[in-house]
Amino acid sequence: MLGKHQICMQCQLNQAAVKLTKLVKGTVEELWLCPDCAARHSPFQKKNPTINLNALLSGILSQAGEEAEAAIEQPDLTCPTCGMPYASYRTTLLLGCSDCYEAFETHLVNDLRKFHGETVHLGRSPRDPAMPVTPQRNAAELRRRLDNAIAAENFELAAKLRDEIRLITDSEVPNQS
Amino acid sequence: MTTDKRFALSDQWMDREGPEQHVVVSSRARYARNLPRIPFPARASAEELQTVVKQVTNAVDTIPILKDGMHFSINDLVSLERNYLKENHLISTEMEKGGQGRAMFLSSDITVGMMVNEEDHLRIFSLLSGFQPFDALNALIELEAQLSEAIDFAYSTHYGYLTACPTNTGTGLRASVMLHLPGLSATKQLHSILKAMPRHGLTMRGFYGENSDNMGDFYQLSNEVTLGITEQQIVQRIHEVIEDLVKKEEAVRSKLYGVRMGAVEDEMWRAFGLLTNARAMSSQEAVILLGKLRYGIDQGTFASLTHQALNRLIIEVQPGHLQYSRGGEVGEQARDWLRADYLRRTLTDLITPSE
Ligand SMILES: [Zn+2]
Ligand SMILES: [Zn+2]
Repeated sequence: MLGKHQICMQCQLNQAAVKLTKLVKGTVEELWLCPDCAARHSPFQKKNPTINLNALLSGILSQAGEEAEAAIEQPDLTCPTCGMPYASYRTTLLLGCSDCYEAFETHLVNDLRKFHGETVHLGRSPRDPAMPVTPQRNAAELRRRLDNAIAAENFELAAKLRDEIRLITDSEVPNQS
Repeated sequence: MTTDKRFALSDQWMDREGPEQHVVVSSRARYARNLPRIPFPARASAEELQTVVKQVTNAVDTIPILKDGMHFSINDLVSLERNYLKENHLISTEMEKGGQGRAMFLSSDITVGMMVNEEDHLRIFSLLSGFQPFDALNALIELEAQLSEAIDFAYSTHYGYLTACPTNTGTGLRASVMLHLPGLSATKQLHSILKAMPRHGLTMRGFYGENSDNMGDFYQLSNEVTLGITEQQIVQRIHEVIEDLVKKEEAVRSKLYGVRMGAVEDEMWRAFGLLTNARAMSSQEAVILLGKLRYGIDQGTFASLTHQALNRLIIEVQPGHLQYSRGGEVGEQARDWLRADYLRRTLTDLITPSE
């Protein structure tokens, strides 16, 4: 299975988003690729890169020669609200409507885990007030940056950091005197 | 053919000063949002797309920052105008194609806006100059909260905001920062920096040019992961990585300048020579050379030049902008002449080289 942030096996650079299953001389080989490399990987790339990537995502392409891509399981599901078949999602990676999430949930969850490493939302919800979000600062991190700033003789930054540290440590240890 | 000059606003993100602008060009954040029960744009009927536009337009009436700004249907714009907006980083390549029911809203100061019926019903965004990822996020959250007073967004307590593509599910947030890294680009360090990005749930790629090209040493860094993480955490990661990158870039620049000042200066002056003398220039070559000039500002080589002037020049030499200023379509070869002419005139006016 895909780890939290599986790296593309081709370029070793981007995050993988697509799994390619290949039959090579009778054994199944799994290849995790980023969208860029996946697009380049297809035999029809020169003709039509968009369709190629889509077809690739669906896993229904068969490659010339002894290599053949095994079809990824295609359950016969359709969203009751928008009427989109699951197979269509596999081709485009686009859902038809917000109810598709429920209709294809058992399969979609695997994709969500693949893309995000998680499946449960942690961010804002519709009832959250719009509170300003600020960088989290801790004194240790600021001290490290202060040392760097002094070493780099960036005294303007050093002064700013010293003020920030004072602000934090003051609020952490109130009424010491 | 006529073009609508309302977009030719002189004061936009690229004209404003921003923190760490010698390394960070701009900071952006966007939310993907959808209306429940209406199919996502790719599967919606013409009437359904109109329903979305109507709901959004009604909501905008209650939000001063957008109400007082600009509204338009993308199909009402000629292709040059769409191209112009894309080169200003205000609409996506997908939006540039046009299409029924696709609309655009922009605040009059062009700091926040909204694309309607692109991949999702709504793509709300904010765009600021320099290194301000938290300010960009906060402007975005504020606008989204105002919209949500008037519009119900498709949301699940388990998966968060529901988007057309599952790569955006959850927060629906894509935070990104555009970087100029001429120092690190000249070293081997950059490769390992790029390689480490997925570990932070981030991705970084060249901004101008196809695939792995990085014309002018401009890069875009953004989050890949949108689910199982808070908005604060997403932007915090970007904030930390960029703070580190700025330090590294500064260190490399001062080292390069110390060790091979002659060579670095020579390169900048050669760029200046070409930009102020060439008679024909492709947009690729212009971006590469202007990138060197931007580096030169930081080193004090071109004292009268500002980062703002360079930000704008890099955008104004793009094909859409050149043609837009001409008021009509111009062939590629003629554009190269037009571009060289424009650069020669503008830079000669702007630069008083220091000795
Ligand atoms: Zn790859
Ligand atoms: Zn559906």
